Amino acid sequence: MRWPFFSARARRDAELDEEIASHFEMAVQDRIARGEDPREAAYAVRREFGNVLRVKEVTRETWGGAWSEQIVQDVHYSLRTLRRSPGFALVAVLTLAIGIGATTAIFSVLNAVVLQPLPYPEPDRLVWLWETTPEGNDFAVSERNYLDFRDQTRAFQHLSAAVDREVTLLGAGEPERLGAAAVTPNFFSALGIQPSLGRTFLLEEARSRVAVLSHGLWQSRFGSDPGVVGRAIRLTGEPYTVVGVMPSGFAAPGDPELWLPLAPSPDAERDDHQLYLIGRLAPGATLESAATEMRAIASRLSEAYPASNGGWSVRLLSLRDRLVGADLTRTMWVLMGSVGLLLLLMCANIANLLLARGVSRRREMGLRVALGAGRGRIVRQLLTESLLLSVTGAALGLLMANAGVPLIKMLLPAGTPRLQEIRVDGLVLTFALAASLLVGLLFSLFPAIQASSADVRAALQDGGRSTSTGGRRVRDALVVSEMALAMTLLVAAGLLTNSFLRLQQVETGFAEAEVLAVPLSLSGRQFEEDGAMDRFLAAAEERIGGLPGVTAVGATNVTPLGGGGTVVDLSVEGRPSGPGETSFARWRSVTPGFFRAAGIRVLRGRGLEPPDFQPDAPAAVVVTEAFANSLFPAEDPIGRRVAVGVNGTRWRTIVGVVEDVRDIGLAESPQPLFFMPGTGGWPWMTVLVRTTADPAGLAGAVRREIWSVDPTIAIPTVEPLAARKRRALVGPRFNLLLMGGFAAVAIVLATLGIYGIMSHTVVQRTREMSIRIALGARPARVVRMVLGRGARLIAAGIGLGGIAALSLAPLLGALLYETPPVHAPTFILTALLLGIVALASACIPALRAAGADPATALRLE
Amino acid sequence: MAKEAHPVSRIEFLQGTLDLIVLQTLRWGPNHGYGISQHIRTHSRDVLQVETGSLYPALHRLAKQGFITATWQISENKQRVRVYELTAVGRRHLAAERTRWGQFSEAVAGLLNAPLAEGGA
Repeated sequence: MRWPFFSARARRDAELDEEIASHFEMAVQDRIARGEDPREAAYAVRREFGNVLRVKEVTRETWGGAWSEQIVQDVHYSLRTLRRSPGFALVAVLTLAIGIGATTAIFSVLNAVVLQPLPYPEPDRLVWLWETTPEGNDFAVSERNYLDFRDQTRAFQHLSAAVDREVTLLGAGEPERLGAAAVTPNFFSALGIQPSLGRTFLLEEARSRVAVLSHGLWQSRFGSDPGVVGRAIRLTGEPYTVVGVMPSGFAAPGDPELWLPLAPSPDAERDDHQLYLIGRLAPGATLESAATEMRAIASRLSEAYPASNGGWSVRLLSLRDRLVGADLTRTMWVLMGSVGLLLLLMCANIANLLLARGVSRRREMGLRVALGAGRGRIVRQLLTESLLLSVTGAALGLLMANAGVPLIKMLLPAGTPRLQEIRVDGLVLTFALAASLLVGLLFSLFPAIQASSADVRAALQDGGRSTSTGGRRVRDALVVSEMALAMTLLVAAGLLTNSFLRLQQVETGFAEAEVLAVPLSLSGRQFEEDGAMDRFLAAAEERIGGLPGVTAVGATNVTPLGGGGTVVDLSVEGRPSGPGETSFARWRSVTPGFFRAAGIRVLRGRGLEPPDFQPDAPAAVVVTEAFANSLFPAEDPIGRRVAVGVNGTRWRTIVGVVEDVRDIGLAESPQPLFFMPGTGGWPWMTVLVRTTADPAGLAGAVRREIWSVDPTIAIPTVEPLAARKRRALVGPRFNLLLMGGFAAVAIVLATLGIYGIMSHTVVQRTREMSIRIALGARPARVVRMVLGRGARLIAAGIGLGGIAALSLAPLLGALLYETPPVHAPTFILTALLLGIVALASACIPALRAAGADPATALRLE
Repeated sequence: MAKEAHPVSRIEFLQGTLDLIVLQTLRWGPNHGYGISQHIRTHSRDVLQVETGSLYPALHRLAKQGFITATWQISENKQRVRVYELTAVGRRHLAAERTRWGQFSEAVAGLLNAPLAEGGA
């Protein structure tokens, strides 16, 4: 290969050539001078020289230190070889791009959500604190308890409290409802992040009307105005002053868009629990020591205030555990493992392609060995070829992953913690590079060794037609492993499908197809008066009820499938109550039309009727079946009385039992629920509109009717319950789609692998098959004989895959709803499916060969 | 080097000895590769014939080690030839190697000529 002459190495090569040539010349001249015939002289000298190329090669090796130049040489040679088989190169690079791209994309999510520490200074010093009920359930913290905790703790440097709020930002255009958090002034000090503009709350501002904006809100609503500090804004009808803006990338639990100050009051009810606490450990304290101290404080409070705190304790967890739970962590690792399996599958496929190519390159290899190439050199060059493929594939894959990150962020369930932090950063890049190198080495190693150990004479003689048995065993092993991997991924997809289908069929108790849900935030001066909310709702419901197609309108305080919930203690009349003896249930506040609007059937007794909503009516409640079964297992609850609170005094009569309602989440079992008439001053109510027409079409009209009653109400979303249910399925659907995608790719690859190996076998045995057919064997019999090997490989692969799936399936446990990990029908169906598809693809080359004219086939030998 | 009959790589054969012979040849004066091989043939009365496959790696190796230098010159036939010359370092190395070779060959000769009377191995 002629190099451009400016390379030092090229000059030395040229000089060596010249030196040898001049030696040759002089030797020939001498012989001619002695009287030999010029041609004979030339022959004689050439014979004496021996292998000139080898001489030059060995001489060059004494120069040493040229290995960087050798690598460049290898790269050029590899590029030339790959250019000669563009089809193979394209398939390999694309396969790698998809494999490495997908793996990198999933890794970027795993990285951001699970691996990276939280974006605060010293994040493992941050602690989340719950109170726990006497039954041991996690619960929010009450203001007075918080104050005691804060004042008595030594383990915390900062202990802050927060509560999620919703506010309405008023200004130009529609009122905008924002998620906000009211936090004690030391909240930002606890997290340790400084604002990018202005400042955070001062201690004395705990009661002031000041606000800190999030970076996102500052950009979207205030146009990134640097002069926003000091500006006045209207929140829910009140004037507030902006004092600061948090930096971009600052994330707080719940992703609030702005922060307001919180001033826990010593006069608040001790048993009104609304806050969550975030604290930073003092130097020297650990999570365990802090937990011990806080539990001691809680137990002192329990003794001092038995009525409100009796039996209550606290639970501390690291902030990280609270935000990224064990479930999510496990899901991410499962996805990572699956995509890793897929990458392995792709490597096996490419290795197979390389092995096949190696067979056709035996002649080339034989020549190179004959010309003096050392075995190490050949292996090195083949490795270079593979690394070139894998690095190119990885670069492409990285571009795909980078482009895919916004797509992933869109597809992931909205509530995924740390969603905003997902990006392709240094660690992800390193991972992609490492993966590509590993992959390149993996799939190149044995084809390289196989190719370089070619028997020179054999290769040059038979033109590379036959295959050594060693190579065949390796290819068989590759195909079996491909089948096994495909089987594993398919089983996983099958299990997830089963789980998803069951989840989809869950009965929520609501008539989803006909109902429109309108969550409202009833905060603001106009609602402070007693009964104002009920009056507003009654007026709104009446106006909406007048719209065409509407059959019923009602409201409830918990948006169906919206998450969130409310639990209280209950006393049952006639039963002793006290710490350890209490029952508890979830409550709902509803308006008169609720049961009809939601489509909840009354099983026994009656629903809540308009008379129950009168101010002086006897207190009535309606309960669900789960409530009846849990609190009144052996008796009829109708007529019995319950009261809210451990020693409640306001007794309410149970007047009816309705069917179970699942309004928190699809996967939970029905909870004991009771319905009370009237809003009770709860500021977040959801109006349900039942209609015979398509619910979505009514959205605009409903909005207008509500605004005609009060134009300052923010109405962020109006959507059919069916859509809410679909959204609740987003997480499981995402897992299913992803795993399904992997499984589909796996089937395709495994099928291609089987097809390839069968084609190869058929080519080898064409002669044999034709002879048999010519001698009278039935084509079908011959085909069956050839297929035998393919079928054995398929069966072995499926069997191995089944075993692997059996042992790995329990890892999926957390992701499955009402589907046992070892679900026999799924396994059997999957095995059958894969087996049939693989067998079919193996048949094609066999049938084609059997159909060929035996005479033609024999003649082509 | 005697001509070998079997197809073993001839490069490594008695490498150290070849170096010694090449350096000694250059002691007579600068010479090119062909000249060196002819000189060795002549002065060993046709017993030793160095193959180019051994000679050139040796020459380049010795040049790399600094015992000889190479320059391009024009020969009498107006040809460009690469001429090697012994360096001062090379001269010293040659002297040392000659001494070592002398000791070695004396020792071997002594073993081969040991009187049979003593002990009779």
